[in-house]
Parts: sequence; structure tokens; C-alpha cells
Amino acid sequence: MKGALNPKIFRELNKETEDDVELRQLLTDLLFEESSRTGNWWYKDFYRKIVKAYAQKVSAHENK
Amino acid sequence: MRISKIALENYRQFRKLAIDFPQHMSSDLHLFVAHNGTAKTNIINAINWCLYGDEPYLSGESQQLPILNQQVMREIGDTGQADVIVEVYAVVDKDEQIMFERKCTYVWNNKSAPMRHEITFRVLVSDTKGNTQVLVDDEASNYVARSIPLGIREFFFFDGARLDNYFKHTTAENINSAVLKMSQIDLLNKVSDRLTEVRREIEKEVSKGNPTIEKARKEYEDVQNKLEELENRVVKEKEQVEIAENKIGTYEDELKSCPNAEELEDNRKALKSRRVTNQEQYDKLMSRKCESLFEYGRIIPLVPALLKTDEIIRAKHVAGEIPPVADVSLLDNILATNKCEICKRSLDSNSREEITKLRQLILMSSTIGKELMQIEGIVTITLDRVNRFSRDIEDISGLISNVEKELTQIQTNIDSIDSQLEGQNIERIKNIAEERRKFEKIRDEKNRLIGRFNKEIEDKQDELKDKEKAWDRETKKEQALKSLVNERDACFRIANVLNKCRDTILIDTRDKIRIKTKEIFFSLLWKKHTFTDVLIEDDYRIRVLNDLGYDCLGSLSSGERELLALSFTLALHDVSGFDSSILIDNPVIWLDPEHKHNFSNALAKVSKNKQVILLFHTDEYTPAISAILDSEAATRRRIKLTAQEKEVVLEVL
Repeated sequence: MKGALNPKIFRELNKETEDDVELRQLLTDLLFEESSRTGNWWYKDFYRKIVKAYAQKVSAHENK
Repeated sequence: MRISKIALENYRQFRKLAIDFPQHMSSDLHLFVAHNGTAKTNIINAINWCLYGDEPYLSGESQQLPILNQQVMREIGDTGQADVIVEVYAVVDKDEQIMFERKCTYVWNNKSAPMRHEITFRVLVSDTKGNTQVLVDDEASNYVARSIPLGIREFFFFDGARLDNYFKHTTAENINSAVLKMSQIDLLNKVSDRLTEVRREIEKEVSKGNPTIEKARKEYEDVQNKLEELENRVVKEKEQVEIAENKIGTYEDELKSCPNAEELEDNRKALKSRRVTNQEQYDKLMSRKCESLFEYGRIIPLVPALLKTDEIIRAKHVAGEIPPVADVSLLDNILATNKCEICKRSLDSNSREEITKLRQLILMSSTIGKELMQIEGIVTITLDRVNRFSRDIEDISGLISNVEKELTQIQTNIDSIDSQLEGQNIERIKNIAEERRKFEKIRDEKNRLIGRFNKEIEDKQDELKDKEKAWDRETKKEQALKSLVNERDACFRIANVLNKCRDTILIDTRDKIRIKTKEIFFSLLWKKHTFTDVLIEDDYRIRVLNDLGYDCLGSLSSGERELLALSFTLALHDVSGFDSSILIDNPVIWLDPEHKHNFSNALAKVSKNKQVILLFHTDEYTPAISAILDSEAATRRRIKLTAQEKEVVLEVL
């Protein structure tokens, strides 16, 4: 279903995350996951996991 | 997503029919032409039934009839069953094949009408590598809800005959909602909302995570400071003790060569005090001894008389005369009656005289006895004192002797002390001793303090360990807290980026839709000067401005409204990025020839980038339309009934 996502969204995301590849990837993952899943049971764990990983990367980057 | 094939089996007028939609080199336009009543609209109904389970373009009467093909119903008879199957095949992005299939079974059970049951819906998703995922029931419905939502189907399945009501029935809110769905801004909103939810959850954890970290750290530091303070005080006190002990040592050295003047003086003072006490005691004893001798001197001449009296009294006691027992009342009665109480004879003068004498003797004897009894006690006590006197004198003499000895010893001791202290600087010795005592007091006091401080230090060390553990725990929590705060900040950052994208896309989409709608609308419209602009408000209310600048949407003709609706929808598809086919039943039915021409050109143009399926009524499909569309069409088919009018067949035009 990846083709089902509006390319405009990715264009804007690319613009907004020009200097943050990790964030771009995170948002892409979130959008693909959202577009391919239904219901509410799954999202909290998934979001927490993905946000945590991103926060750790940002923190590690800042500590360099 | 474009439709590549529709397969119908026993669905209404379609006994068994497969409709392919091959893509043309330059366009993806597919034309169907049919007379009234030849199931043209049921192609859209079949697709809707397959995808959503309903048939929105049926008349009220038709909805009452079973969807099963009537010829099949006749052939089955009283018993048996038949399936109705509609399959829609679609392609997504050229690498994903999807098949939507809805099936229901009709069963005859000796009844006039078959019973419908067992409706199943499934979606088969295949990739280019041949992997196929089968989704059924809810999963299949969810897949449809994600890819071609029911809520926006009116933007890709049209009935041109109803488009004049398009803006009446479709509120701005619905359009807004559709735009959000089609441009997938709702997806961004959903992600943003969920990020907000997750962020709030994290904030809750942060808020209850570790509010006491600072408190724990401060408590630890307080105890540590207190401990250090105590240890410093112990060091200082020990220094004081050392100073005091040095002083004490110095004084003791000085006092080693000196008699203990102070002690000696104290002793002498105590001895003198004792001497005074003993002297007083001695004087009292001597006084007692003199008094005793004086008293003895007074009593001693009376001793022989006292001894004689005592002897008489004892004898009288032995004789029974003391105490006196004679009763003179009998004699008094005899004398009064002058008659003997025993023999009852009268008394003569001799007898009377004898009785009177006897009475006087008895009375005299009784008086002496009483007097003796009265002095008996005094005699006894006085004789006892006489007997005790020698012992008393001996005792007093003994005591006086002891006191005399003690007084002598005290004087000897005093003389000894005087001799020891003779020639010494008593004041200096006393001062040194006083100083030593002062420092001993200081030392003892400091040692007590040190003891107390050491106990407090022990307690504080235990407390410090506890506080350290508590702080350690809180510190670990704080580390977790920092991670949570980072996660919360990450949520903010992600949501900010997402919302920026969303806002940009929203504004951009709305503006582009407005421009595109205006462009298409004005290209289709025959009036070139009546309308000047098409506006779309923030909430997607559409306004058409006339040459005076007034909104004239309400006064548009049906044809104009249809043009506006189609323009808007085409613009929406074009701009939103939503990838789906457009199916229009009766696309130009209400339009004037000029508009039909323009509208057909617009559809042909759209079909170059999007699949367009048009279902024309025979009368709609005029030579002029045909001239425009035929050359662009990938397929052109006529829908017609068989001779028995029970089944639909397709005929290539």
C-alpha cells in the first residue's frame, strides 16, 4: 500500500526535515504504518517505541 | 488505484460477465453506452456492493428485490442454491494487485422466494513477487476503509443525473472531510493526534516520575553537611581536650613537689570542725555527770527509810492487808438495827461496844493500807533510780573518756597538718590546683561533647547511607525521567514538523483546488463574462462570484451546478493526490451541447492521468461526444440485453 500515500506529503516532509534524516524516516514509518493498519490497539506501543528510538538518537547526537 | 477488471456472476441482470479495463497508451478512458433498463447504472452498483455492501444508485423498488439474477432464480426451482459474486480487480502503483470479492449465497427451501445468507467479503493483495495476502471480513472491510473510504465515494462514483444537487446534499463540512481524506491530511492529523496522546502519556509519567529528586539530593547534602560539621566539631573539641590535658599535665608537674595544700587545708578545716563538735559533746557529758551526782547527793540520805518502807509494803502485800478488803457496812447495819444479823437477837451494851471498837479498827487499818499503796510507786521508782545511778555515771564517764581521746587525736592531726603546711606558699598551690581543676572540667566537658558528637556522627553516617540510597534511587529515576523528557520533546518536534506539513498541504491543496476548479469550470462554461471567480473558503464552502463581485452559487442553473460539481471533483482528484478511478453515470445528461463538448474534452484530458469510466445513456452519447471521446477511449462497449431480456451482454463499439 505504499503507493497509496499522497506524494505531496512526502515532498513537504522532505522539505521540513531537510536537516534531519532520522525524523524524516520516523515520519515516513509512522505514515506507512498508519496507512496500513486499522484500529487503535497497536499504536501506543508502536509510537512509544519509535519516539523513544528517535529521542535516543537525538540525545546521542547532541552529546557528541 | 485503477480498476483493471470487474467480474460479475448472477448479480442482477449480469449472469456471468467479466469487464476488462485495459490501459490505453495515451489515456485510461472507458466508455459504456446503454439504453434505459439495461443495467448500466448497476455496474456502479455492483462495484459499490462489492466494496461497501450497498447499492446507492438503485431506486427504492429495486432495493426490495434480491440481487440474484432472475433467470437463475427460475432455473433453480424449489430446492438448491446459487451464489452471487462480484469481484473488482485493481492495481495500485503497478506493483500491487488487489482483488475485492463479495459473495452471497441464496438458498431455496421449498419456498417461493430464496433466502439469502452467508455473505462473505475478502480482499486478496498480491505483490509482484507473487506473495498473496488474504484478508477476510473485518480485515477486508478495514482495507477498503483505508484505501477507498466509503465517506468519500461520492467523489469518485458519480451519478451525473444527480449532480445538480451536489452542493445541496454535500455540505461544506463533508467536502472538507473529503478533502482531508483524499489528500490524506487526515492521516497527518491522525498521526499528530496520536503523537499528542503519546506525548500526554509521557507527560503524565514525567509529572509523576520524580518530583522528589531535588528533595532527595538536598536531604543527602544536608546530612552530609551536618556530618562534616560534626566531624569538624569533634576535631576542634579534641584539640581543646589536648590543650586542656597539656595544661593539666603542667599543673600536675608543678604540684608534684608541693603538699596537697588544699586537701590538707580542707582536712584541717574538717578536723577543726570536728573538734568543736566533740568539745561541745564533751561539755554536755560533763554537765550531765554533774547533774547526776547532784541528784544522787539529795536522794542518798533517804535510802534507809525508803528500804524500810518498801519492806513494810512488801510484808503487807504478803499479809493480804494491801489492798484493804474489810467491809464495814454489815457492822453499820447491826449497829443501826441493834440486832444481830445472824442470830437475830438484840445487842446488849457490851456487844454493841465490841462491835463499835471492831468497826474503828477496821476503818483505821484500811486508811494505812491506802496510804502505803499511794507511796509504793514513788518508793519503787526512787529505789530504781538509786540502783541505776552507778551505771549511768559509768556510761557517762565512758563517753567522756572517748570524746577526750578523739579530741586528742584531732589535735594531733591538726598539729601534723600544720607542720606539713609550714613554709609552703599555700595560695599559689591552691591557685595551681584550681587551674588544674578548671582544665579538668573543660577536658571532661569536651570529652562528653566528643562522645555525644561521635554518637551523632554514627547516626548521621547511617542516615547518610539511607539518604545516599534514596538519592541513588531518585537519580536512576531521574535518568529515566531525562529519557522521558527527551521523548516528550521528540513528540513535540515530530508533531511540529507534521503540523507544518499539514498546514502547508492544507493551504496549498485548497488554493490549488480553487485554481483548478476555476480553470476547469471556466473551460467548460459557455458564459465567458457572467462569472468572474470561484472561491473556496477555509471551511470549503464554495462561492462563485459574478461580474459584480457577488456570490451567485444559489442562482446557478442545474447544468452550471453540474459543471461546477464536476470541475470541483476533478480538481479535487487532481490536486489531492488521491489515487482512484472516476466513474460517472450519465456524465453529460443535463448539459447543453456546447457544455457537453467542453465537458467531454475535459474528461478526455483527465483520463490521460487517471482512469475515467463513463456510463452514457444512448441519447447522451451523441456523435459530437463520440467524436471527442472515441479516439481517446481505451475501450468502448455497448451494454445490451439478450433476446430473453434476462441477461446483459457487452458489445464492443
